[in-house]
Amino acid sequence: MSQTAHIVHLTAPTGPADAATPPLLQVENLAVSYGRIRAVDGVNLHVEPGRIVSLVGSNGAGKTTTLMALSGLLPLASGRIRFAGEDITALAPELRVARGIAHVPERRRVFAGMSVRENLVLGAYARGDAVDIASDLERMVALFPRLGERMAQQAGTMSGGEQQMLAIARGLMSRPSLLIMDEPTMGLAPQMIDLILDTVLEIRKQGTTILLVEQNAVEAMRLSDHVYIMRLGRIVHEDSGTNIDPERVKSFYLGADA
Amino acid sequence: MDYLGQLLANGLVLGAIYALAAVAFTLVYGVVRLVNFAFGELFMLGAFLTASLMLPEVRLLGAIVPMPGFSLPVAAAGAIALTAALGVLVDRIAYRPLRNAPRLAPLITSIAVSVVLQSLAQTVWGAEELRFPEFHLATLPPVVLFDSIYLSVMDLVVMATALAAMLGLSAFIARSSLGRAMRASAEDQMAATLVGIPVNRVVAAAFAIGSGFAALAGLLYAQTYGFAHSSMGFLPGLKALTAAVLGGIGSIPGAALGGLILGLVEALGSGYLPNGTAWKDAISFVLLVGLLYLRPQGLLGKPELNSAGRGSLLGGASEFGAGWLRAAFGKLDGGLARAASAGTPAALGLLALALVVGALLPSDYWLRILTLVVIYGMLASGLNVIVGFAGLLDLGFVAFWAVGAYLTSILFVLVLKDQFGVEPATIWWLLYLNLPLAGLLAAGFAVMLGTPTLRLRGDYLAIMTLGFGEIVRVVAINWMDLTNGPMGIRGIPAPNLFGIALGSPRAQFFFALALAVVVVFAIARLVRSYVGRAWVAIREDEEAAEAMGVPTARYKLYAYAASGFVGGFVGVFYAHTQQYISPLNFSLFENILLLMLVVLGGLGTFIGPFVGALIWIVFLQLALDLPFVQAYPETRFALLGIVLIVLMVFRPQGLAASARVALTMPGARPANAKEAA
Amino acid sequence: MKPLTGAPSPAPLLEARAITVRFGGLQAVGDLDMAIGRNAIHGLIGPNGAGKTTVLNVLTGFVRPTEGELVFDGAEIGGLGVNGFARRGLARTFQNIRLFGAMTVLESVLVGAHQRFSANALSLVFGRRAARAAEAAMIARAYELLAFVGLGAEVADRVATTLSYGHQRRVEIARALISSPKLLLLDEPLAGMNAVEKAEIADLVRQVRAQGIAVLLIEHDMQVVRRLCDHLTVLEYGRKLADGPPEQVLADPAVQAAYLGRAR
Repeated sequence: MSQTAHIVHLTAPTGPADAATPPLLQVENLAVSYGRIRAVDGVNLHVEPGRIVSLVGSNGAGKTTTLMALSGLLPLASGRIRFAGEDITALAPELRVARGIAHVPERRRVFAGMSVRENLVLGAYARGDAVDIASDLERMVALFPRLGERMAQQAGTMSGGEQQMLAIARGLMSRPSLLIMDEPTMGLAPQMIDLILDTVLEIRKQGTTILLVEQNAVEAMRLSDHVYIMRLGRIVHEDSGTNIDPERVKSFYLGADA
Repeated sequence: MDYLGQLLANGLVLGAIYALAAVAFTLVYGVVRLVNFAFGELFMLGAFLTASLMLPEVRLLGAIVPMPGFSLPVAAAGAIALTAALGVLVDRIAYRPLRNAPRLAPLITSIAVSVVLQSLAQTVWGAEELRFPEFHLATLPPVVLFDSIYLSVMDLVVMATALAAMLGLSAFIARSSLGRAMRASAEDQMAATLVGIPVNRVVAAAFAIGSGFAALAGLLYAQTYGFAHSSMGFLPGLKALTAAVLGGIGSIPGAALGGLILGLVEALGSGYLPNGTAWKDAISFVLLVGLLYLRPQGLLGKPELNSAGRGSLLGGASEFGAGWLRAAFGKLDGGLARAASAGTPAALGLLALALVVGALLPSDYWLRILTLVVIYGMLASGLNVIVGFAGLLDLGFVAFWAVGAYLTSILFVLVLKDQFGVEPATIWWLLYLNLPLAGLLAAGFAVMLGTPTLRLRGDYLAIMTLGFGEIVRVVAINWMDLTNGPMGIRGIPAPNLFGIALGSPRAQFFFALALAVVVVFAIARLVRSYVGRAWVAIREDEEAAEAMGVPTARYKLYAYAASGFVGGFVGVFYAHTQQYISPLNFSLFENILLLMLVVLGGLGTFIGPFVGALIWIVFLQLALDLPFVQAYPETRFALLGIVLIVLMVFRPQGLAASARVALTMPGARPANAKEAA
Repeated sequence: MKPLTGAPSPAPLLEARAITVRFGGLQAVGDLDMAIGRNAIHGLIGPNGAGKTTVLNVLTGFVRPTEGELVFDGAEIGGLGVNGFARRGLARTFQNIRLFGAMTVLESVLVGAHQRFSANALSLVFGRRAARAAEAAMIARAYELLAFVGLGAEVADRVATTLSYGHQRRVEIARALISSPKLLLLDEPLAGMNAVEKAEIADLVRQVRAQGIAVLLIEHDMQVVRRLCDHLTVLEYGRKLADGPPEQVLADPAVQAAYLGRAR
């Protein structure tokens, strides 16, 4: 297991980070339990500003649990979370949004009964300043032209891919410095997967740091500056996206020598 | 036509008020999935507070207190603000700690809050009606429409206010940031949290607005009918809940629609049906029951609201708040657990103790009290079958009790004595025939009422059974030929055995004990078998029970039947000990009281119902020695409610929770297994 | 210990024909054909959201398919309620263990034997001998099954939900087995377990099969699936992607792509 790889000199396609940059997100010894079951145990991870960092691993590895703990939806059994130099371990989830963490949850969870516009406006709730919402809406439409055509449509009536676009855009409306995305391509058709993943790169280019959980490990490795592999609630391997050995990943997913 | 027009106008006024109160239920249900029964009491407080603020002086706690004498609009605004604040406080204290508790917990808590608020209001404002002061607009001559329909100016004000409030709220919910956040929280609390919405504050806002609407409805109602009274919120509260369910709980246009329909139906029903005014209340509840049967989600609601979270009050071990509390309960639990594991010997020991007390207690007065304890313990045991073991919150249980009491009273008094002149002492044996007969009749009745509820879960089940209970009560009041109506039935003979009257309190106490032995024995035998296991499995996880091959619908009906049987059986004895019954004996409040006793003692235990009944009824008497309680007897009910809220928050399993009931037949274990265990 | 059911025969035990499930406009399962052999350990695998749990819910009566038919042991069972499926011999466990909260281990297991009791209310109240005998027989059977799943008699009187996670799984399996099912459906029985516990449960699954009970298994740990199952059905987007023996199926590039994603 490579313990040194997260020192970030490795190939970062556009990331401005270097060893001197303090991490935007720093997680130490994170543990989460559901009742008696320890779902996540002793997870350490760093996300440097301007990067795309992925968490991959098979189902039940604890990826979603880790993300939910980061945004405050689950209580920690132990561990510390620092964000932008500040300890946010005990911060209420809605206040973390205000500090700049946006979480695009698994299965999108758009407000199905509300219009696309309302969903987006709600995304800016934590900001409290209604002033620039119009310009933010324009930015979202530029990012996802498809949403622009459907501003008045009920979110629940859109296709899965469109709902995913909306969920991402809703997250971006809070102007986050860190965007957490949980399986943004789950259940989507291949063309839609391409579109969403291209958008991930575009969002990073516009200056937002990204922490991504992705089933599609091949794509995750290709996109990411850094990859953590999880198994049974622990991080078992990490490396830069390009350095990671695909065969090794395959063995984590499919069992023995696939 | 003029008559119809006048009825429609009256219906609109009433409907407007129902709609306003229905908004309270619907708004809070939409956001936190809680039927807050206490809105009926906030409705009443809105009326009292407005009336008090309008008067120059009011008698509070028996003392004359000077009041500002505001005009109606100012007083109303003040009352609405105060009630809204109270609503938020109630949420903070009684509901928020239970946000992730099983669904039954907040539902029972809201019933307890209701009892507390009503009792406190009676304490503060007294048991008399408070005349609602006249507003100067009310002195204006009525408006006449189409030459024949009379509407007072205040009627118009009521309708205009309701319309403005509903439109204002709709606009607020649709357009404001907080309104949007409310809708978002209603749809998906996790997603709402993730966009940065402080969900707890949004819920508090929903309670504030809902309570404000309840207060507004209450003050308009009091203004229309000219009085405020501590129990005035009860029926309109149920009606408003009916309206909310009718329209589809969770939907604001639905609440408006439901309120109007209910108001119009009641007005037309009382105008056109024979003896309609008397049956007015039944009309609403028949509508409610029929609707829940045919379309549980209501006219504009979403079907998924009829769902229950898994897990009962008893499943999860709840953490105690304070160390001393834990220590105190720890001792109690240890003792009870030891007693319960002793099983039959412990039960026989308790029986022996009861027999000794019955034989030696010198006071007739206390023997009567103890007889009442046994009766309430038995009734609570019957309710416990359905609520405690099968986990179905039945608020119509008193109906079964009433069936038993009325069956025997009608036979003995109205038929045999009045019609045929038969002297009760000569047919003393009929009582013993009536006991099982009434049990069977009530069981059949329970199955009949239970069948339409099978598709319903949680809150809806509670509301539907409540509707049934109210219908039975209204029938008992109004079906004069059968029940003698509100006058009740007098002269029911005391129990008699081979011509020996068992009229003495001591004899009756022993009679009650004998029946209690039968009731507890039969319940225990059923519970400690595959039947009881099926009930508890349904209570804990209905779907998993079904997947294990339990036909859950049939076993729910068995639970209704068993519970109904006990109700009918005990009802017969109750009638003969009281010697007088009237519909007042079988009100929803009695049902709530029984429920509180079961919860107090411990749901799903054999001893709990008796523990609850003993504590409550003995306390009820002992507290009368306190001067404060003599002055304000209703504070005892407030205390019971408070105790129940505290229990729900800190120990939802009840006092005797650790007297856990084994669900296997005694003596059916293989010998080697016993050793291992 | 006696075998739980009769000898295996070659016709499939459970056949799902052209099953389609739609929730609203969304198709969760599309035109799925699937056959589970009489003595099979059959794996149902696929990436998240592929529709595995929906299929399991169809096979246990929790979800009624929009189209298609289910034939179990030679009879069409599609129209039965959930308890009817259980009575025909399909027993299941749940992804998130669903034991009954306030019940002891013994009582929980006995709920699974519900259909084996028939005493009426009166014979229960009067404690008739037949009723007592049936109870005693089932309690004895419950102890046998607790031993079979690897639990000692000393846990029988503990409240089931206070046991460790691994033991709760075993109680759930015993609760399913006491109905003497023909098919046991296990929804992620290994989730949240360590390597030792996984090996033990896998071993238990083999012993269940040795009793003549077929097993359908939803599982994510491919190491275990590879070794345990003798047949796999792979789902993706609610449709069947591959079907066959594990080595063959897991080597299929389409299956690998479904799990790991395709490079663009």
